[in-house]
Amino acid sequence: MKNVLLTLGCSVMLSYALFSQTEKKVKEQMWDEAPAEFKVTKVPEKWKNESAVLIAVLREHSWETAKAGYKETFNSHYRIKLQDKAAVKEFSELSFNNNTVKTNLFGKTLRYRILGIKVIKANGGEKEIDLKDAVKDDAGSGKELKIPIPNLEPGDIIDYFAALKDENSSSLSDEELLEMKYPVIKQTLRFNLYDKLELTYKSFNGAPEFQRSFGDGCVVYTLEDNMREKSPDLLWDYDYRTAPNFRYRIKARQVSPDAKTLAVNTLNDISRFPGIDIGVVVDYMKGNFKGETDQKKITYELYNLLRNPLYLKAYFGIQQGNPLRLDNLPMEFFLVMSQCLNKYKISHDLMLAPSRSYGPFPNLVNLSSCDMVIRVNTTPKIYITRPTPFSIADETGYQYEGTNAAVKNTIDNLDTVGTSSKEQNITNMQIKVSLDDADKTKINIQRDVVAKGHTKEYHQGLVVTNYDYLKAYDLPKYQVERSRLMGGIIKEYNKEKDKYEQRLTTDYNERDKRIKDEIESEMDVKISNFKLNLKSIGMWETQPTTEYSESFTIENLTKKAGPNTIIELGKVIEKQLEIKDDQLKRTRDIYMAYPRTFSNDIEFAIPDGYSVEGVENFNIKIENAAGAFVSTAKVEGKNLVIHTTKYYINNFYPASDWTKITAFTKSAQGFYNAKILLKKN
Amino acid sequence: MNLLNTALKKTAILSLSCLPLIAFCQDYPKMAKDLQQQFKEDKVYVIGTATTYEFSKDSKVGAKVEITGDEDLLSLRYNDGINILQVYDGNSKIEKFYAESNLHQKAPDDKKVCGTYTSDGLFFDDSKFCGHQLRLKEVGEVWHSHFEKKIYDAKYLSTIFFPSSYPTAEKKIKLIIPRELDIEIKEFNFEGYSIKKSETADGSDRIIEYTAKKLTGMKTERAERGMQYTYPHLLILPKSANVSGKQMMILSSNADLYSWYSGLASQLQPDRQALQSTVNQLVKDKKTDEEKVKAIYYWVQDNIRYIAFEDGVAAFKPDEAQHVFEKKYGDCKGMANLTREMLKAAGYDARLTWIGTRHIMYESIPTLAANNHMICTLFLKGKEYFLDGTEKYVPFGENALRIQGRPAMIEDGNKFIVEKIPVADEDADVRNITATINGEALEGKCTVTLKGESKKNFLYQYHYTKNDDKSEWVSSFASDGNDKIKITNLKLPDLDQREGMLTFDCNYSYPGAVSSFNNEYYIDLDPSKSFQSWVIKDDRQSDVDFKERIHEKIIVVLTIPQGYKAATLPDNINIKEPEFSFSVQYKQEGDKVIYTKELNIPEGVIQKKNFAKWNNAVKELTKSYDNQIVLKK
Repeated sequence: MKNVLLTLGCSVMLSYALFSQTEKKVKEQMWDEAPAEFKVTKVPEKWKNESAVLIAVLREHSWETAKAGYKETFNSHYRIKLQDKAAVKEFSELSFNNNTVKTNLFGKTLRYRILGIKVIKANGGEKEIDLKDAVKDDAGSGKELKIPIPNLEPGDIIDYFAALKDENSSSLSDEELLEMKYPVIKQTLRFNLYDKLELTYKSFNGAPEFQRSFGDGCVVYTLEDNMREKSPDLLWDYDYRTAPNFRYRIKARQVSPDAKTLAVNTLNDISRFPGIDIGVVVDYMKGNFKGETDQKKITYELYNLLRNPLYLKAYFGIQQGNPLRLDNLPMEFFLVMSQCLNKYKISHDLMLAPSRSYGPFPNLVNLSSCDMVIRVNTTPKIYITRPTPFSIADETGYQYEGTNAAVKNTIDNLDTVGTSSKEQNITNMQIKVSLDDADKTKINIQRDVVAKGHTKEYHQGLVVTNYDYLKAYDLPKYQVERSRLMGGIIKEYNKEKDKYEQRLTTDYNERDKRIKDEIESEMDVKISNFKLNLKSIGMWETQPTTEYSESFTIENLTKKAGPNTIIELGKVIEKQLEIKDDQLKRTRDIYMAYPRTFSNDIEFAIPDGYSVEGVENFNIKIENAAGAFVSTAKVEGKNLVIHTTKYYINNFYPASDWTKITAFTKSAQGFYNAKILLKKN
Repeated sequence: MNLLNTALKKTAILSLSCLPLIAFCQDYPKMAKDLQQQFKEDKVYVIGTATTYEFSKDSKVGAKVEITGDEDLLSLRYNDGINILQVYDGNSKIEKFYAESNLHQKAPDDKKVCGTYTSDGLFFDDSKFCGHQLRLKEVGEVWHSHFEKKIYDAKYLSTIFFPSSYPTAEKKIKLIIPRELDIEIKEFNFEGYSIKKSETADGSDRIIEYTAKKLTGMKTERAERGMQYTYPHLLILPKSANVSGKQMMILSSNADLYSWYSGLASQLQPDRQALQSTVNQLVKDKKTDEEKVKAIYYWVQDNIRYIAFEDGVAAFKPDEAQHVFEKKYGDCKGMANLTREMLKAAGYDARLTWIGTRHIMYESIPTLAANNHMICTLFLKGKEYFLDGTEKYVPFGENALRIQGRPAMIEDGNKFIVEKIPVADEDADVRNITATINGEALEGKCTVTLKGESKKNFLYQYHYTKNDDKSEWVSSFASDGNDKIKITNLKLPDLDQREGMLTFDCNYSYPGAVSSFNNEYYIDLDPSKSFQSWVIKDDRQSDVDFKERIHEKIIVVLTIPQGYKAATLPDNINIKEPEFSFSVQYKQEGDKVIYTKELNIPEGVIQKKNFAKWNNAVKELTKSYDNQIVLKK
């Protein structure tokens, strides 16, 4: 589907008279000449309790070459049976724009040339919806027109199509999942290829193969898929790695590069980048690191410099004002970084790495899931991926960790991007717990949080404000005006910093509210008196950890039981993943973001006149090849001291490891629900 | 759209405007910085706003209004944005609407964005809005906005609210009313606000001016009551006009209001034939009148979807019955009209009925703001039945809470009948649980009994949940949302039966309800901790309206394991206030501990004056939840 979205940006050139004729013809073709499955009205017994069932789906692409690029015709046709009131409500109204239709089913927007909708009643009666009845949709809704579907009730079938034509299409490859929101009785994908175009495709995870045949002046590829269950809702899943899907590429017969070759060719092309003036970088290095020979140090410094809002503006035109958003960084970042590394004679290679969520090069038909990586050939090697506002040069994006990347000028070999370990991605919390002196039903918490590696990202997003970030970059070495351009940008930067300082009260108020809500949700408690002290953002190689302290009062963690008090002490480690009964069986492999460790050191101050019972509830040990949850608890003097560690060893597990994972997540759940009794002596 | 709708709701009736109030040089950045401390969550502070409503007579409709408004907004944010909006409809027009800031930013009149919006009300109207997005470049920047609007028929200007979405230093409202116009101004909710009024004469005009100071910004709050109950406002009642020496009645009485409503309804051209065969089919096997009426009423509930859709018909005129019948959708007016016509086709006396739901505060006041809903009244054997097609599972003879006790204006030819909708017996959600201890879980059976609104809501949510999610939804309902509880063996009765109570049984297991230390059991008996998070904050503006009458009862009978005795039973609580009552009782009978909790909020509303009492009660209830039974050997 992605292909359609990419290619429908151009206008449809048809006169109104022509349009009416074409509309009639297309309707005949789509409805009257539809394949037999579009006449079916019944759904299989096993799906009678589904909210809706897709009886038939047809997606038909026709490609031919054009002067510049390709012409594409795309017809999509859906026949869906609504089996309950929820489905009727969902399809009660369709909204669409003048040139697009947004279907409720797929939630994607398509530019259309012709759209047809009809309702088929249980008695076989059919009625086409007159789209002239559409009215203006609500302003601000992002849609232009809406139309209610009249006379709709459970048991009805909606049969609709969109016929599209794109005179100037450029993208010729895509990936498609076969599972949808509702089960599908039969779906057909067809490619009609003219002008000696050919299809290359790959099917995965049980997706059927295409059948090749010859049509009227074209080669026809057809994929038929029957009785496909709906898409499951799975934890830790990359659906393009685990679900039935196929990927295709349309190509002229004579050109057939595979994705890896395409990647190497792309890298070779990119490296012809003429280069830009890096004079201000050179001046900066000269002013601050003259004579520096440590290649790692220079690499870090260059990376920090190009990630700096000042240089993001200077080199990549990224406006200042939203320093915590860096989702629009162009690919030129890698080229400028490479140019800078060249300047300082630091050996490195440009690479293209495929994302873990789509799989390695042999599985790819295009490079849309790939991104650039710079391998700096120091010891150990540094793999530089697309920076975030906080990332450090050697913190490789986890989406590319462990993938086999194509290297410039190296057609035969791939290089494996470095990976991080559970020891590198670790969050530790030192938690001091005590009963509130004034109100013994309340618990006071003093928490010191230290996060390293990829686990930092969550904490940085939670606690760092724009002002904190700009302040962190507000170092004398960055403030030297070495050119008129940089002078202006520095002036603007300082103005931004002052402005953010003006709204510090508001921003800190919002930040505290955000963290408070997060704690309440993560611990399932009500809290008050929240205070935060940010010690380290964790954005420099010299201070790579995120560190902050919090104090707050929990209102509802104790229960009174006669003269004694029960404390739900397990909850202080925050909510633990609960695997529900219907999730216990798993047949699809498990894809996590990264290996990681969570550790907690809890110190509970036992109040005078009380003793603790139930300590044994906090001694748990489940360790296996997938990971572990281990906790130890003992009374030391006037404190109950508990240590917990939970870790996931890998970022990928075969489905057969699911029982190992659920074993230790279940024990972590047990800890979270554990309580102690404070017994009055 | 929710945010937009909320913003619109809050500004729709306000019609803000004012003078260029920032003529004096002030240190706005400093002022803004100080105000940031006070209004941490607000993006702007309204320095001043003034709106003038100039009425004039009109030979066709009696009176019309021209409104001009100016407003000065002080930015409390850097690099942020707000929307400013003005509402209009088929009876009004925004002539000018622009804004500019002291930092030379401009939002000119020709750049305003106008369009429709659908409110979530029952009564579909044709409200539209024009808006500007204002960028807040700097803290201390001042935006000045100005608008001019014409209302062609003064009866459409029904309310003027004082507060806006933002805190306001001063708001002035000026009404210029010619002597030939009889317009009454009613004031509501002024208590607790600093609002001064003056009335003077200028030639033949009455000049009424209000100045309100230090207004808090209106906020969206959970379970809020209709804004008419909460915020200070004026109700504008244009009664009559002296046009060319003749007295022209506008809305001088409810008779005028009815006359206007029925005038619109009389334009309908029902085609009963289009409905007849379905009506005949529905009633053909039915013996009694009640059975026939039910067949028609339930058919409308089941088959007509609620879709409010602009179709060019006047906002207050119902859609034709045959159109609604054919499309199978409509708003409340369309459904009421279809119910009437289908009942008439079956030979019954059915009539259109205008009503204000409990969201509306006004009663017996001749204003368009009094009624926001339409139903159908059936006259059968000397009794009136109120039929609301928008209520999908309400039984014949019963009425949804939102119209109970509300006065209804029923059509009666040239006259009208006023009747109050009967108030029903109490609604109820009762759960009887038997429990035994199994390790760290409580296990047993649960019987759920639902009555009235509780049953109706259950049926609606069940039927509108996806088939494949229904089982999970019912389990969640049975466990009262407590996700630790596991429900099994749940048997549901016929869920198409609207009348009577609804009862179902299930087995349940509540892991973690029991803690054991040294052969002692500590037990949390109550799986539903209703209202424990309902402490009301000091700055809440609106009364609490739970939108349902609450009567929750839970009885847990715990069997004490052999060899154990109850060492501690928590204290009972008994709180009785006119608006609510909480009762939690523990007692021991033989080897059983019986826990009974009963929570009543008979009207579903807690008024602001009772917030302190409510908070104390919630704290006591929460304390009770935090107490556990102790069983010892």
